[in-house]
Amino acid sequence: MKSFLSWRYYVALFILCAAVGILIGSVGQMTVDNLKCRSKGYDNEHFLAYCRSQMYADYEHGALFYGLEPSVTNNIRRAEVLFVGNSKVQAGFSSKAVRDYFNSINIPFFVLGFGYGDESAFTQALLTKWGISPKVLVINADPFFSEKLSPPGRDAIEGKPAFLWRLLIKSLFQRVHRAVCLVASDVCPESEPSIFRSARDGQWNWIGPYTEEKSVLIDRPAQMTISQEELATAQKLGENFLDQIGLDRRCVVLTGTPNSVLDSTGIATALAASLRTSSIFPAVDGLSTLDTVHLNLASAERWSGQFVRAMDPILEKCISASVPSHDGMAGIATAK
Amino acid sequence: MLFNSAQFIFFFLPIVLSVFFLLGRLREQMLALMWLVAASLFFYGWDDPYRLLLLILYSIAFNFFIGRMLLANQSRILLTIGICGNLLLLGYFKYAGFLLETFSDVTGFAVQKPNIDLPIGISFFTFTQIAFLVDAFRGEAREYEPFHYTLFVSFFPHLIAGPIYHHKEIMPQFQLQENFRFHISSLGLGLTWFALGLAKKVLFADVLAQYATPIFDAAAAGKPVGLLDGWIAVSGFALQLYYDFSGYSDMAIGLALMIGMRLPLNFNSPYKAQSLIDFWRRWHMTLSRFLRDYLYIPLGGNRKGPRRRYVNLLVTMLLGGLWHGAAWTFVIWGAIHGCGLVVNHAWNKIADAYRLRLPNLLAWALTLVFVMLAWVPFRADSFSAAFTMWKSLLGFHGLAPGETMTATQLATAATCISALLAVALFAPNTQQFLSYPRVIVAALRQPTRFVPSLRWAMAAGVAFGIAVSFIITQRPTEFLYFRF
Repeated sequence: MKSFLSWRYYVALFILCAAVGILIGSVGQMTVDNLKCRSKGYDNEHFLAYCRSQMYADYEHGALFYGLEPSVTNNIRRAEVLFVGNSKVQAGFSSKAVRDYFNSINIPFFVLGFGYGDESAFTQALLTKWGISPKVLVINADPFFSEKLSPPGRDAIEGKPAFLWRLLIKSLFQRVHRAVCLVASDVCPESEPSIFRSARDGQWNWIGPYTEEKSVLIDRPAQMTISQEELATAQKLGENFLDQIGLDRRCVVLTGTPNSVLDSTGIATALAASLRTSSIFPAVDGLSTLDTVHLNLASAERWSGQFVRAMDPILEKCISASVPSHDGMAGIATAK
Repeated sequence: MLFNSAQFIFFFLPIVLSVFFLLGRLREQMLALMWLVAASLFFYGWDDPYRLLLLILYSIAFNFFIGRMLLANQSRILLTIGICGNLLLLGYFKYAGFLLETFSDVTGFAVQKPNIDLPIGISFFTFTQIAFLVDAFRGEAREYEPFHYTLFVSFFPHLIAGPIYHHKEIMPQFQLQENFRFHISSLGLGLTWFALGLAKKVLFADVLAQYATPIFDAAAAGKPVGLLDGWIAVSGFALQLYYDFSGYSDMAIGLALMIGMRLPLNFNSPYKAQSLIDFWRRWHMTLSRFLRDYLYIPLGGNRKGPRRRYVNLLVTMLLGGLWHGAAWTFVIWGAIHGCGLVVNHAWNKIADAYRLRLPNLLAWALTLVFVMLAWVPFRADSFSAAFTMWKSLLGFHGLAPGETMTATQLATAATCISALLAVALFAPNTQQFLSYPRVIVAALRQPTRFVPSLRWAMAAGVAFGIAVSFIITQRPTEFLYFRF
């Protein structure tokens, strides 16, 4: 090992080793600081979208914006049906029913909602960046069309070096975390709530890793709505958003995931009428949420199952694929 | 700006070096120096440009003109004006609040303490310039160009916390044409020094602070601190201070080396010392040299008999303590070291007379324990906190750990401190590793004796990288000596 170098090689090797050291040090610290994140949700398809830890927190905004997870960008581009919105869309459409339905008709889909309440501003930036043009766009429009950006959404769009560096380290950390917890499970307390996300179809795996299944019955219509001014702003932003997407408005489906707080259905109905889009509001009784806002897993299965079946005519119209006919069309209201 | 910040490492330093060597390559020596001055002032004024730049430029201009006049006319009055001017500036910014508070405590008059922020590095550049004035008076300084003088004071590697260098060892280096040429060996060696210093600061000192700080804070809050916690806090702080300040000094030496300059050494494994006299030859060596040459010797040194020598030692150490900070706890720290040095000299005399000799291990242990106990007032926020900690160290608060750390945390702290103490005691220090000359020959470009190897490139590179990764992910922490 005691070989002598010329100064030129010495400096070059120093710089190379420094770069390696920075990487090792950063991933090492990230691992030590985030060993408490759950590791049981990793597989070849799922990545750690979020962990309730100050050093990790959100990863999905950056990962999807910069295509850091294997083939995630291709999967979004390939998706003929996109679901967009905030965490409510993730809760509502991360279900086996949705996956089984689209698999059965062989149409690729992607659930492209985001946590931290991000809505159209971030989605629009993402769709524009990757030139994504789905054939059908499902929007959880309560009201969705907004100029607001969450901190992780803003960070991802700004793409400052420090953010990009942390993103890279989070990406590498997951490989180390998965391996460490596989080999030495004793050092992984698995205590911090975490959300895993499928790189194939964007669905969240969160009941279990993030929260337990709870049941808060939606037993009366939600009272809260948005003001007329907010609705007018959303309509204006909605026009711009849809113009930019350039999709036939009949292939844009507005909906409102049921909850106990916001009159999502009322808002989406008004927006669908003014934006001249389709809309679907499955009528399902006895739905429950986890927390008054997000549908719980059992309700999401029932509600989203109804929803996708109600999409048959729209898919037939917008996608040239054989879409089987299903029963249960109740609750469809297509705005012309 | 901090050496251990991403903006310094990734932006400031590469830009400064690139432009400096570009100008050197174009043989624009003066422009290169002006560039270094501009960069140094930019570095100094980073946090508070108007106030800090005004202050340092005033100080440089004042001392430059007084120095020039002293070179022409070695007048004692002029020297007195010069020194008083410097001390007044230092006194206003550093000691006004302390003096008024003391006056208020002693007389009972309620005096409002002025709210004056201590300008960073003022103690260091003031001492550097006082030395210059004294040398100009003694006829030991030459007349220098204004730019050379400005760079001598503001040279960014040393500006904030030393090493306190002497004009004789630096000024000639600004005139050596060779130093303006890019040498890959200087860059490589400088990077290695910088890497080791950064690792000491970020990977050692900042980690040790996590163990020492909560326990000292608990003592300051009047909470009981057990014997074990107390020793963990004190030994942790002793090592933290060493790795922090010697790390800073290594980084300063490394930065200067990259530009082709050599700065004097500041540390030489102080905790290996076998006597207090030896300790002060190894700890903050450039301050010890300054205090010896510009305070102790002018006071009479050892030329006026043993009693006067002891008084001179005490005065020197008291003022040395006060230099570190405007608080009585620093005066106490200086007094403890002053008394310790007096006892050490007296013992040496007795030992010589009776041919006595302490075993090396005992001498080392006594010295280390004495130095650690003396760090207590240096670190403590108040007398009462210092006394609480001393009592804890002597077991007055029991053996059981206090509430600040769990048993597991204490065990981790003890392991970490033991490991880093072993490094301080048994490993070679940076200059031994990197073959740095003990004496700087300023008029010559000294060849690099360090032999670059694969092992060193990898070790220093990885250490640097890991330390930088800590800087990127966490907020860089200030060096302890910045507050002095």
